[in-house]
Amino acid sequence: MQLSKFSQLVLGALPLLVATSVHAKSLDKDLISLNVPFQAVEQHTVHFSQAISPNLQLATDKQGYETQSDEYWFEVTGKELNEGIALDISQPGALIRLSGKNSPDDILLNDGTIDPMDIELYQGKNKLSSPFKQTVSQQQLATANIFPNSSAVKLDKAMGKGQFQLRVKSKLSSNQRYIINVKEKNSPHKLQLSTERMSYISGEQVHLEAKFKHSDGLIPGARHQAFIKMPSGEKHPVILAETDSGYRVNVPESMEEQRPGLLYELHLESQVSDKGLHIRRNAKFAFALAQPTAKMAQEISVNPDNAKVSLTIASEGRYEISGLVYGTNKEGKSQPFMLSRSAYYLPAGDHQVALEFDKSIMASAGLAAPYKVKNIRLMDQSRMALLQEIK
Amino acid sequence: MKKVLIGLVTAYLAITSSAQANQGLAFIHGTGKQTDAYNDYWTGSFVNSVRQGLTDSSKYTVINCDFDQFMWDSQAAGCLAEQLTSFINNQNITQLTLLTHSNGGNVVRWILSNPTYDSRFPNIINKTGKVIALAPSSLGTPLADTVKQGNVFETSLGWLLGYDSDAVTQQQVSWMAYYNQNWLLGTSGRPNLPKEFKAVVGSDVDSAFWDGDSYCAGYQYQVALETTQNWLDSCSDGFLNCSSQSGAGSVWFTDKQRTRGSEPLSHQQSRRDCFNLDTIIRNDI
Repeated sequence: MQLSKFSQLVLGALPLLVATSVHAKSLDKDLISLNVPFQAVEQHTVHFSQAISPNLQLATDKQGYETQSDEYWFEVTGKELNEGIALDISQPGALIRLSGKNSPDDILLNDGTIDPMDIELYQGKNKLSSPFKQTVSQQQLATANIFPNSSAVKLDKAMGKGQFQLRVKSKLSSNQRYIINVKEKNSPHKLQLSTERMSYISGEQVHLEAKFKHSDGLIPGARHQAFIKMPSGEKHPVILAETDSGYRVNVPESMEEQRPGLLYELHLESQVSDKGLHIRRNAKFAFALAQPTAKMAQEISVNPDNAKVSLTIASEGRYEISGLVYGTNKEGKSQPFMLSRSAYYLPAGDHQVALEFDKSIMASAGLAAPYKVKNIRLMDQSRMALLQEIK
Repeated sequence: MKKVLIGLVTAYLAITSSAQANQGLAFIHGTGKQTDAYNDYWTGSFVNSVRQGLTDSSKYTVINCDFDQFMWDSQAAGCLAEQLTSFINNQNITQLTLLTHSNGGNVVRWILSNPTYDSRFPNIINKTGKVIALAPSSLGTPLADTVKQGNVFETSLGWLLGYDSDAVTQQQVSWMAYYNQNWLLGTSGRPNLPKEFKAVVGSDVDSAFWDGDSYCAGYQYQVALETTQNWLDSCSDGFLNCSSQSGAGSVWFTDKQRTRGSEPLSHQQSRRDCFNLDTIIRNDI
């Protein structure tokens, strides 16, 4: 039995639509008062506990993210493709994907797909003969159901590395826009982008590390440009401020109300020279930026049936407290055995709420008091935000 | 001898208990808005074969929801909760098996991981015996990132991922990393899910034109696959890396370990009656 009595009481109830309202003032200078989200939010109090694996190896540090890129992409017009665009190739046999981009009103101008047989490759002024090992038409790519309006060419490895010019000989609509994606799988040149965490509170700076790597080691002299893609899709160029270990970025404040759960993205467009070779890479990572709508007091009182948590709520909404419950084994050591969570719909103000435990799980765990609660999290479920964590 | 007897008694009790439980089975589709998933997503031959594993083969449901939305959306997890709750209540189900494909695994994981988000969730979790996750996109796919490059494909995308889809956005690799770290259970370093979540992993795509097996709901053209393979690991089902499919819960089996002729299961094939997959699942319910 993993369901508490409290949970049983609310079964079958449907989420209710919450009316929009605005709180005039914040109750705490660190907190912010936001409108009640427009989407349906559960109103009932729900408690739930589950047994957790005794082998749990919790990632207790702030969890970050790391990615390695062996590709780059950029946008061009049909006119530019007809005139010829420069391509930096650092890996023999690179794949070049050309994808017609839909206009804002969702129309692909004049069938913007490019026939790969119309693609020419130049080195200097010399048109290269049979430069592609493989051409992939729009019809062929469509069978994989991934890339619409797209065609691709794979360079013959004999073409080697360096700067090339790609030209489309058939007349394209001048204003039709295309994404050119150069994928250099298995390239030894990689852009490594990492961040120490993916969850931030509004006002915090995002920290990142960016390194160009070769199989021989780091490549110095990289140049990076960054922008942040807002949840709305807007693009904001940002300044990379150097730190001892990487860069810091200020995140632009959005004036618009965000849809819950959507993330920001940090994009990096990077280039470096290595032994006369010009290498380009793009990379990105997503992160959340939470508004401080509530906070919990650091002091948590743990009782036999529950833990009491004091909350200051500045924005009406649904909040969840969760925590890992530890008991004491026969050797006197503390070990986790249960994940408990309790969620309440709360108006603005100060509240004391209970994180309810499940007695049946406690009884079957074979552990005794004293009990502890660790990794206590406060989540704003209405706005899908992690607000606070007490280890 | 004593141990053998205890084992036999335990097995007997387990079988008896299972027989007494009122079993139910739900087929939960992947990305896309479905109105007739029985025909359009699973096919009747797969559904009707798998449900024979139930004590009463009539106690099954095929979910039809809008999984083009983010997993937490009322049209995704909310819709799924509504249909599962109706099924549980109408059929008096006490032991539910959830059979998911692809992103359907993420929607189910949302419910299992966020029991307090919706008051219908605890009862569903309580009634669920296990989740069989066919090729779940637990860690996302680099193809979703590629599709979103330059925002170019926000309004046009193949049916496999869905059209103009929040689900595609969600299944980008770093987006799933964030959701796994903060909102979902069952991945490395996170608490376990409250119920068993066992994955079937597709590890390869066989599309050789001389091999008739490759046409079991499979791909026809090697050239397109070779292109998409540029963004995937050597172990993938043509859409998801094996690491993503095995990123949450536990791995039940990797295709070639159990399929007829040790055939791989492409992403399309892992929701069809290809290479005895239907029989393997049927025998596990």
